[in-house]
Amino acid sequence: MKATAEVPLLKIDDYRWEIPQSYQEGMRVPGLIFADENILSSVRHDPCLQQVANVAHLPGIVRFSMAMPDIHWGYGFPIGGVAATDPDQGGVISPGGVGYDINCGVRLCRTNFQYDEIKDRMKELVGSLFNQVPCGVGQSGDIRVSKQDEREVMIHGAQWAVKKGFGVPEDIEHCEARGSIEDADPDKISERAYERGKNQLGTLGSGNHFLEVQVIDRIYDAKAAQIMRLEEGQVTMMIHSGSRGFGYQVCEDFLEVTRRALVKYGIEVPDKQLSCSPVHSPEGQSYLAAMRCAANYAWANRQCLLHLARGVFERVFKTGWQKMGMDLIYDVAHNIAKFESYEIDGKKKMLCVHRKGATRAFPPGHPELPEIYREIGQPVIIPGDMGRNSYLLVGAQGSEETFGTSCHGAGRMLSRAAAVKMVRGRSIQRELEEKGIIALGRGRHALDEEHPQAYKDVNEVVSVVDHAGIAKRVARMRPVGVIKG
Amino acid sequence: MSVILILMKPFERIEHTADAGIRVYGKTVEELFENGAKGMTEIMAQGVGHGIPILRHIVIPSMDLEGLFLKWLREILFLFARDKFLFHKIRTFSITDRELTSEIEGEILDAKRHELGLEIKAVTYHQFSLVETDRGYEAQVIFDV
Repeated sequence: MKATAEVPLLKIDDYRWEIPQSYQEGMRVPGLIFADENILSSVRHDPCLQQVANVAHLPGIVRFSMAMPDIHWGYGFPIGGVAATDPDQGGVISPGGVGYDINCGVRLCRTNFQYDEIKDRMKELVGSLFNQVPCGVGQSGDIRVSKQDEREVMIHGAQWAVKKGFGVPEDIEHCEARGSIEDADPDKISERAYERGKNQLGTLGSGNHFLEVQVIDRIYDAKAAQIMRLEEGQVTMMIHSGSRGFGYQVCEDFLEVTRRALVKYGIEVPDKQLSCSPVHSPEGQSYLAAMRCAANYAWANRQCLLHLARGVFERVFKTGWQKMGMDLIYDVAHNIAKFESYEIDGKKKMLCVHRKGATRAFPPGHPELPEIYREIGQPVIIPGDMGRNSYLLVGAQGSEETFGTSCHGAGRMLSRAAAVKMVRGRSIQRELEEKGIIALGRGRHALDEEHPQAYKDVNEVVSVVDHAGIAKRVARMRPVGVIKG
Repeated sequence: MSVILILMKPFERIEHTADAGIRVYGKTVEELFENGAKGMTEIMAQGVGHGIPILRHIVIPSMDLEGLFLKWLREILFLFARDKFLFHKIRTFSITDRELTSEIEGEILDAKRHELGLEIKAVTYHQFSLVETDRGYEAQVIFDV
């Protein structure tokens, strides 16, 4: 891989940087990175900038190979990468442009509580969540599914979970794609994926996945906040998880398929991990059908997790969840490929939009939004690290430039080993507690590896998308209770 | 003495911004494969070797050594994902022109007894290498976690 110091960047404005198409032979479009000077300096020597240029080689790519301000290195595509391809111009679908954790995503749930009302119960609440929401490596839940049920999960996603009683129809209305995308085909799923998926519904996982109890500490947009029934001091809950072993296996299976397809279709890419197939090919269609199964599995999983968490609140506060106002505000995918219509050179085109560590952020008025949010834009949920903030934004008109896409999180800065080394001799749990955050981790280094300094400051990341006009801040939350695998 | 110990270590963790990786050593192919499986397992859980031993068979159709090593790790990761089987050691191991066959010993994950680490999503091709050295074999592999 070429040294990244050589990747040329042209400043367009304070928040946009271009990698010229002339940088490398074979680039079909320029690169476009959304960042301010400070963020840029933190990734200036990271291979992720070269990855933006590599993605620009993909057949059928339209306008730009883009990266959001939370950009960091990923397999093939950078995390924070966005690329739209035109299937009618030989456009490809790349499993590396979605990632191993297909439809990893976030959901945000409100409550009627003001933090002051439940402050003294936090230890009990977080302890109960930790004990009753399965988290950590190898931990399976009580929700077991038969093979037939698993097929239903793959086709119906969160709608399957609601039908089983793990939620209410309003939850579905507040999910991207109503918690299920069409044209999922369970026949494209390997036996191994079935096996890995059968006991992982309603489990959080490990790594950067979490469940957080948060408190809103700032409102930026009073009107949007009012529509979402949010105000300062109010308690919210955020869940970050994905398609678990099921999705990982689907990705692994199809990386093999698309590696072979590179040879079959004579596609040249600078990095083998950008393996891909034309959208209009049997391999491309098979991956898409399988990816949709995994995306639907993830929506079902987050719905089950919400159901489990609501149950914990009910037992701790001895009140029904509906009475506590635990309504879902929204659920967004941040590792996915979808077909969406955009105007390119004056013509309506159906493009294949890859979002890898990037969140859909449709602007106000978009027909796919639930009616309640149509006036304000799509809720965009951005988790930060467990010591600082997370954000709720709404998609803005500027997202047309990014194929309706915003950032997805803070973005990792330190390796796990470096993070552990940095805090040796310190107790992250105690440090967080001193800041009023109760954090419980299952794995031996779960909290050390994920400590706040291992991440970029999400405040800076969000500030870039806000200033660039992609998405607008609505509310800022700070964590008060965290459970981690 | 300490120098010799360092040279003989079976595997070590390597740093990677987003993920976890190991560098693995072995005097023989069998030792390399055993140490690779141990190194990967240790990322997920520690304290293996004191539970009720369980046996599993692995059969992989023949391919080059690099391919076999990656496939071997993927098989062991799958056994963990499906059965919570934690690898402990190799009992038998052979590679013929046709296939790799091995009987391995391990135990079932028990959160009360094992110290949990990180879930591994996948064994990746990124920065993968396997080379023959003066002392045997050396491999490097990065896991998506």
